[in-house]
Amino acid sequence: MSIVWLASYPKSGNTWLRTVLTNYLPEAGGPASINALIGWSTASFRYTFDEFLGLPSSDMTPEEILRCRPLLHEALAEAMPPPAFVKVHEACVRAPGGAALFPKSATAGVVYLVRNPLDVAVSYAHHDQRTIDRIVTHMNDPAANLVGKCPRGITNWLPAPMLTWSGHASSWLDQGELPVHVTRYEDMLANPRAAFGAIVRFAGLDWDAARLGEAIGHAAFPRLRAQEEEFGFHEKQPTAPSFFRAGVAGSWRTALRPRQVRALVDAHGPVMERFGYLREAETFLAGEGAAGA
Amino acid sequence: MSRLLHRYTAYGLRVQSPIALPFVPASSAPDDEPDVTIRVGAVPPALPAPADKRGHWESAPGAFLLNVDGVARYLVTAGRDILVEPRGGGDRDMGVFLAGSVLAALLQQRGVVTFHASAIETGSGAVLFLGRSGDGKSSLLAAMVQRGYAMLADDVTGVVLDSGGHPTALSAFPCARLWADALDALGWQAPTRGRVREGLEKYLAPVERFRATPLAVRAAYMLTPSPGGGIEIEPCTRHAAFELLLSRYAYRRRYLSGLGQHPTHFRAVAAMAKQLPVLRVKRPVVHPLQINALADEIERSLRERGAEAASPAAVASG
Repeated sequence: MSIVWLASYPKSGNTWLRTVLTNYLPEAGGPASINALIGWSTASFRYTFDEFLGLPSSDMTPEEILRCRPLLHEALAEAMPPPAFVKVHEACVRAPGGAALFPKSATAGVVYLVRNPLDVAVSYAHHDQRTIDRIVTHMNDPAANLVGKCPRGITNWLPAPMLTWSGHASSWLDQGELPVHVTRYEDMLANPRAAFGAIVRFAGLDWDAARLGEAIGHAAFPRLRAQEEEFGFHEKQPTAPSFFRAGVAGSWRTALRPRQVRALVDAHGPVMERFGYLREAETFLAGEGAAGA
Repeated sequence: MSRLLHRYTAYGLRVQSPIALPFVPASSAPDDEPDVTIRVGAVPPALPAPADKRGHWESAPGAFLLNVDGVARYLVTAGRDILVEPRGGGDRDMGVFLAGSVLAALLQQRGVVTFHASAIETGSGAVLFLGRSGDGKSSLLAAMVQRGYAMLADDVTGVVLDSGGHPTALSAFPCARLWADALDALGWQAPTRGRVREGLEKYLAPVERFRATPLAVRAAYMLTPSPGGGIEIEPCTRHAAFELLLSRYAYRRRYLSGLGQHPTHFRAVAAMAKQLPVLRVKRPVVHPLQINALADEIERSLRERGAEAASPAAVASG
């Protein structure tokens, strides 16, 4: 079996997509629990690495771990029953030694989700309970790593190179080896049937329009939030008040300061333009300038 | 080239090695016949007939091969012999894998069941803290040592069934491995023996308060990171305990099938799930580690079960 990677920068709709996919499976039988979603990020989990490869990641350097990850992904692809969805926030880079981190041999395809980085910054800051300024710095840092918060200790997660926000997107979209289907978060919101339908077809699941409609309904934002309020969500950051926060586009307009918008636009302009995020940001900045801010 | 031979005692075994084992203090035991002999030499590229093979290892009954890119290749046979072929790693690098995954495979060949756990001695027996990599078992061990409990093992705890079928924990060696943030949170004052490896903020922390002989297991706590709330300790059903001990907390469970040791593993896990209280410890995964709050709750739980420190000491620092 080969893996369909659900790849995205953090806070770009990956969990929402996984909820739809989980509910779409014929065996779902009613609203699926948010605490039993398919496509969990098992490839980034220390336990998976240690047990599959037989190596102690906690005694290994980040470079050594990364060097072994291509082999881990091949072993996972071999072991996972279908449908083999795996969420990843890593960038699609090369491992030390030159092998592709996500080998073609382990890959059926890549669903890449992209979201306006201005909204990502707001959501990410909430998720990590960090200031927006720190998140902007993180999104603009080519050496950014998901475990960057814990350089002197250990978490359950492997070090994960993320590159910058736009570096992340380009790494997946321009690698030229793996088949990629790209979806904008904003399109998932505006037309969920079209957006999720295209993903379901790309992933090779059998097509059932009625089931997709139900799955999207079960994964509606208020329902996810209600589940989180009642049962909690075990994938939430422990420090964050909630995982499912707003589920909307455009909250950056009131949450970001012009200089923060400027910093993201300066760093990511070309990729923002590619996905239609740039003009709105520039209009906003021009208006702020006119208002003397 | 002849190398100086080091002698160690680990998991009750006398080990002779030309490569220093970084976590294992040298043994002062007399120079009698070793149980385990480590040699340096050429390791074949593959096992002739591997029964299981994944990632970087292969296993067959009585034989286990591990390849650590850029460090060394290891061949473990008959629960007695370890052959090491250097592949670019220094002695410290080679020793780290030797004293961890490789020694665990050797224990498995000898019929010892390996759990991903640290272990302490209490007045009524051994207590295991089971956890996956990053769940906090080493820092909890260190906090308990500071509170007067003796250490039995860090990271990998070997368990055998005694003649009466009761699970017994083996004494590993008197050294914990602690990350810098845990040393800070604990206020660990005892000297460390430097980094486990260059480039890792993880340190070797020798432990004086050490139980050097096997001890019947009295209870097992499973460390389970949870997304929020406080620290909660609750009993686990026998069924759930069995499942989790068999899969999640087995150290290198996948080595076992090829080694033909599944039945041994199964019997030990069944005995533990049946005979012992197994408790689930839910704790928030936040940094700093809240390690002392966790140790407070564990101590309270141990007291409820009549399992205080065997020889409570004044709160010391390692």
